[in-house]
Amino acid sequence: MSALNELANLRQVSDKGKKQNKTAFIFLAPWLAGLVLITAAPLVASLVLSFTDYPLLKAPTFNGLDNYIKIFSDKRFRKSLKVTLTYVLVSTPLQLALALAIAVLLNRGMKGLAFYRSIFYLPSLMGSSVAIAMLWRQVFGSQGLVSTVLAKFGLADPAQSWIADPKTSLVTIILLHVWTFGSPMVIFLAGLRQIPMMYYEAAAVDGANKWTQFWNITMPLLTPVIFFNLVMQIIGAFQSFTQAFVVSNGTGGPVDSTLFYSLYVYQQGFVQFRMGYASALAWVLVVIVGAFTAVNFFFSKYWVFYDD
Amino acid sequence: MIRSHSKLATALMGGLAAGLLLTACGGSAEPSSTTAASSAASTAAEVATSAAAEPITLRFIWWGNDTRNALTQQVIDLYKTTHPNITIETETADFATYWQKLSTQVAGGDAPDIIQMDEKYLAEYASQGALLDLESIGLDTSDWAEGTVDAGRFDGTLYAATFGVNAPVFLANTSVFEKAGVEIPDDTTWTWESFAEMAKQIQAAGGGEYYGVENLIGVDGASKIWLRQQGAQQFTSDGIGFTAADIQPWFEYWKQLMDEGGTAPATATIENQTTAVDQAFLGTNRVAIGFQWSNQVNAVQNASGQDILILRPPTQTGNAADGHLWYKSSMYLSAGAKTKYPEAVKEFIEFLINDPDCGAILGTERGVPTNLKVREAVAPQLDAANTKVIEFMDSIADELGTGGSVPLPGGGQSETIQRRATDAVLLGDLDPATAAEQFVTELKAEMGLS
Repeated sequence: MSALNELANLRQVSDKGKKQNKTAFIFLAPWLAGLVLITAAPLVASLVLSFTDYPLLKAPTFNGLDNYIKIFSDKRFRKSLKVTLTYVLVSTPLQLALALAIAVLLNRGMKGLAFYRSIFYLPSLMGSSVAIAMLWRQVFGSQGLVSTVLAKFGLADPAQSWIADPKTSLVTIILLHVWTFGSPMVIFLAGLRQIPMMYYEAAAVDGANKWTQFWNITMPLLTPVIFFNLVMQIIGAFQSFTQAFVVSNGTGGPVDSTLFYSLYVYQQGFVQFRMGYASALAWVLVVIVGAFTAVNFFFSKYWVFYDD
Repeated sequence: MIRSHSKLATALMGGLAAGLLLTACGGSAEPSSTTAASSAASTAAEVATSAAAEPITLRFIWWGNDTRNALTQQVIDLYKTTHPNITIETETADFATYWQKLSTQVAGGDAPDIIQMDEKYLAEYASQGALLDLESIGLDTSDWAEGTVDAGRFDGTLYAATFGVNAPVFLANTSVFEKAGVEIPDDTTWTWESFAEMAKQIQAAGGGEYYGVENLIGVDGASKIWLRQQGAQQFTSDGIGFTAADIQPWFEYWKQLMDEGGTAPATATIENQTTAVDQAFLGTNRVAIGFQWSNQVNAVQNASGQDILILRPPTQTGNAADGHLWYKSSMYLSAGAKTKYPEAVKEFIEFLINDPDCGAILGTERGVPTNLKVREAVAPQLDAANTKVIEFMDSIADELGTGGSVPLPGGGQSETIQRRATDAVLLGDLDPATAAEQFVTELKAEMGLS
């Protein structure tokens, strides 16, 4: 959408002078080339491939809606959808709550703010990295940090592996995701800085305590930022891949308990050589994420408050 | 008031931050040692092109570990001395990512010239026309060990040259046996039953420090031994050679052995299945016996730092002749169907397999040499660990079973499908009968069999 808007703007500019137009296009060329070659073309290609049988090593053959029909009877598709929805619906609110809490604590003009902000942002820089997911295997693995410490208090068997138990494996990945609350935190901090101090001063004069101030001033004025973070984090969570891939060694196991949607798409395409089916799965995800975002926008008018 | 608040907040932040840092330091995380392609060597080689012959660049891709990468680079450098016009560009990956890398390259029309191949994926690539017929380019196979040529055929065509030979083995960690005060059993007479008794005895002595044996319920190489001993096969030339009823006792055996305290508990076992050799139970001295392919003996021995013995897997009857073992092509060399230089590819493959100097460097790391003359020539120069492997391979020569085939396309997924079923058995979520049924049904679906 934004690309179209920008193009429309350019067209208006062109009425004023063709020269300006040309210069703008030259400057935009690298970005446009990237959009067309790296984003738009593969997007179109995958849509086309989703209507084919494409065993990766052989040329694709058109098979109509077969892939989409097959999705409905695919048990592992339903499993991956369930895993992903659980992940999105549990981890996103937790992560945003933690990010907001830390942002509010940090927003008090304390000494060394930059230092703490960096420390809390650090996990987000590393969180989606392979190294941290490897670390997660050690922390929650058999004889790992968590099991060993719990065993000291007689709460668990030291041999217990939390990542290899289908009852807890997804929880460990949700924890990993919640831990990487840095980027919404930074956005919350910026949002908090935008709220004029005079509101708080006026409230304090009227005798409102910190808690009341938070619920009646901070929260309403922050809703646009919360909404933004919610939309972005939900979309991001739907696309999670690296953590599950590394923690389960690419299998989505044990017993498909961490079979994230994008991991399943990847398995179908690159491991089981069904690129056509994988493309269809990817487009179904586009529709699901689109639906979630649309619902989000629909309900936003009931709770997001723009202080214009 | 406000001051004290912000002090409290500072303290709180400090605590939280320290907690996060501690979490980051806890656990002995080791960085994943991604196998770096030796770009330095290939750039050096590019410079030294011969004026005499046409300069040729070949791409060679393999999966492996640091040891293998170093050895392979050595033989490539050796090849360079006699073929100055040929540049070998190398690419490496670990086994799991290798297949994604290769499939993407082949699909993109950018297939390497020389491809290290595994039996799990041979049919997949051969049936799609991605590999070159090696007989059509006149590959010299005259001195190869019996059966090694045919092991590379799919539909009668030689698509893959056996690069090395190995066999399924049980590896015993002598230090764990010593600690437990249990004698290492005679592998020519032991049975699955006595094996289970031994496992329980060792685990009881370990008191949680180590387990009896590795739980092999989800290891397809090990279950293949069991199937063959039952008179079944894992794969045949037209599909799979076993039924749910054939594999069900295998699931029951390991579930029972785990419940009776002969192997690690369920979640520890499941995690161990997806752990690299050097960090898994056997390599870290936490089980007395584990399953491996014979060419992995060096890797296990290096990781554990202990003396590792090679044993025959147990049998039903206590007679090693009923072991139904087999020589497996540990890996193959294939040629990309669209290579521009089939002649140069042929010569390089022949160098890797038929040249004694090359064989002396590679040792048994990729399996025992395919070429009998190479095997003979290198045997006296090998170190103790390599000699042990060759001696074991010779000792089982009279006990081999027959039959079996490389899997049809889709069969490469067998172990993954098996583990979805066996993990559930270990966790108690599925009973062995249902799991066996699920395994066979899903495997057939993956292979397109009815």
